[in-house]
Amino acid sequence: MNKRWVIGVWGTILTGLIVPSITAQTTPLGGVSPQGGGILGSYSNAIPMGKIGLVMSLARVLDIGKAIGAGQASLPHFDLELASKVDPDTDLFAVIGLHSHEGKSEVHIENVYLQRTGLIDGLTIRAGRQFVPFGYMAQLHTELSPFATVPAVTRHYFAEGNLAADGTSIMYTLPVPFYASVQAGSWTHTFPTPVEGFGVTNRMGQYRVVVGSALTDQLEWSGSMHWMNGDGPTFQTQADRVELIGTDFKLDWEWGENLRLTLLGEALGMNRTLGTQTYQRSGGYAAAWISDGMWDYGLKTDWVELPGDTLERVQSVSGILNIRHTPAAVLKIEYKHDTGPTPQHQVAMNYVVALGAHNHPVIR
Amino acid sequence: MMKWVGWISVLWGVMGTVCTAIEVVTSTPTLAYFASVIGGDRVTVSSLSSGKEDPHGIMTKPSMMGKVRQADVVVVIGMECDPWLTELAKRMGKRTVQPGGIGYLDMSNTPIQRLGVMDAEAMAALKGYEHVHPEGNPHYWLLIDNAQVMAKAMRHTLSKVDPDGAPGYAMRHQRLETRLTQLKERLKKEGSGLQGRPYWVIHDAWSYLLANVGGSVAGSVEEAPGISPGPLYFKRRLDDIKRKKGGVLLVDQYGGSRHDGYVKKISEAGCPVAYVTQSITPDTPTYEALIEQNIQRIKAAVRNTP
Repeated sequence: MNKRWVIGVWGTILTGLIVPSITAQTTPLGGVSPQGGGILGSYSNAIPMGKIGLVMSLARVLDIGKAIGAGQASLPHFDLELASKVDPDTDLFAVIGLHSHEGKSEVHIENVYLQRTGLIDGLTIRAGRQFVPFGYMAQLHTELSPFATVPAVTRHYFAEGNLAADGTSIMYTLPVPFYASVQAGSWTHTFPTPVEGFGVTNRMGQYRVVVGSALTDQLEWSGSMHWMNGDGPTFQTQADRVELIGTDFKLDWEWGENLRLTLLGEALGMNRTLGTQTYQRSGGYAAAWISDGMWDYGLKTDWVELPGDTLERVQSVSGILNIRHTPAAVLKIEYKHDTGPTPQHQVAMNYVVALGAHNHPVIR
Repeated sequence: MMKWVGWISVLWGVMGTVCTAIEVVTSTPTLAYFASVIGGDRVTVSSLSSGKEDPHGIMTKPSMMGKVRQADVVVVIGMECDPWLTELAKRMGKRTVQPGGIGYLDMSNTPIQRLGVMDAEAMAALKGYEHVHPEGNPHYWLLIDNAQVMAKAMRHTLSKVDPDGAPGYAMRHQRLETRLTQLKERLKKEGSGLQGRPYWVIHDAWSYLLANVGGSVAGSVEEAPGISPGPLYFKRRLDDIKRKKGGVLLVDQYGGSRHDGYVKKISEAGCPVAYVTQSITPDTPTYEALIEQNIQRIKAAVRNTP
């Protein structure tokens, strides 16, 4: 364990334990979905004209049955979140990430985009680098994900669990008494290394329809359909075309003073044509958990079908437990049992601390 | 094709005819109360929170977005209490309910009285704490004088959005104004004996409420707004509470269990507890009931002081 790792771990733990107890309360973390990142909503004394926040995340995966310490660990991941008002209708948002990649620390711009509202009723335009709002989980920052690990299907399609791309997106909320919005985006993304389904550089078109409403005072649902297609020069010489289609559904049932049951499911499918070859992939996850404001506990299952691959199918069942010991920090624990060709048991832990200006999640 | 266009036009026209009420969306039930009392049957009012949650930490839901998209008037507390509603209005609302529009009402921009406004020195002392409110304590609606200012602002906004309804808004506003004035007079009598006592709070949401009866907050358990006390700070505060006799601890009825430990220790030290409420709820469905019930609870606690 090198010095940098030790400093990172202790820095994150101490920050999580001590700083939240002496700083102000912040927005509850997790269990919700932002519409492309949420809102930074608290003033910072450091930047009079803007807002600044910091999210720190430490992840560790332990393989059960192996020697203590076996498994994968990551250096703490830091996200510096910034927001600033350009004019009354235009905001600038940025997320600068610091994390470890193959043993080296890297600073990279995860998001930097301008958001323009006020042109037409219900219309929001974003331009710049942002998480492509494809699906549910792929647009969440770490602090907003309800899970300690990225679902296999999301990780399979988007290596880091998100797809940050440069482009423009337009979202229009329909003038109807329930929530209905349509969204389209045009994107260019350069991958540092090729990942499943995508080449080194891709141009992508992406479309989404989201609908939601209240069924009763306590029961709300939302669902979306989304499509994405991409092509362009790849690391190989052959023509490459990828189509992704997905759907997700979420149900929130609040009962009692402070209890909420959430059901969340998402399914994704991919068609990739590389030269004359066609590959198909599909997968999804489903989860149910109960929250009381401090504790979340529930179950999750996720799977990926890989026809033609040696693995054929990857599947796991997980117990999930999230503990919010302060409003600014959450410890996510996931006990995961892989039931695929190579069964294994793992415990994944993800500790997230948010300081300063913070996301006010906007459920979609 | 023309048939479809025809049907859609008819449907659109019917919707336009049916949906004539002014749609008002507020962040809290207290704001919704003012809107519905002044708006009467010309408005349909929705509060996006129940009054039992911290309005700052509301998680927005799909149904809220539908309401904001349809809203003709959006009313917020402001002062960073409910930024999520302003953001929803900006992203999804009509142009008129976005900041600067005639249907957007930030109550903190009205000439309310503000307590706890910080000067540069006070701000510097608290640098680094993110939930400090430099513009002042944001729970201003609990002061009846401010409620009167808010009611007036509500009437003006509704009259601008719906000029045809202005006479009705003025009439109902006048009735509410009378009730609020009577409430102030009642509290002058009922509040006798509540002045001059040390009132302790966990989080200072009650300075405005106490100001209605000439009381004031002696100190908070939190080191600064939203900041839980360290052991030494709490010990000093507990010593203060023991030393200054005749005090009462004000605790938010819906504040959750996070502060139960502090409340227990303070209560065991002989300081009675009054559970009070920040917002209108189904149990206290009017502003007048909210204020009166809170004052009655404080009086009951005062009677238990040693």
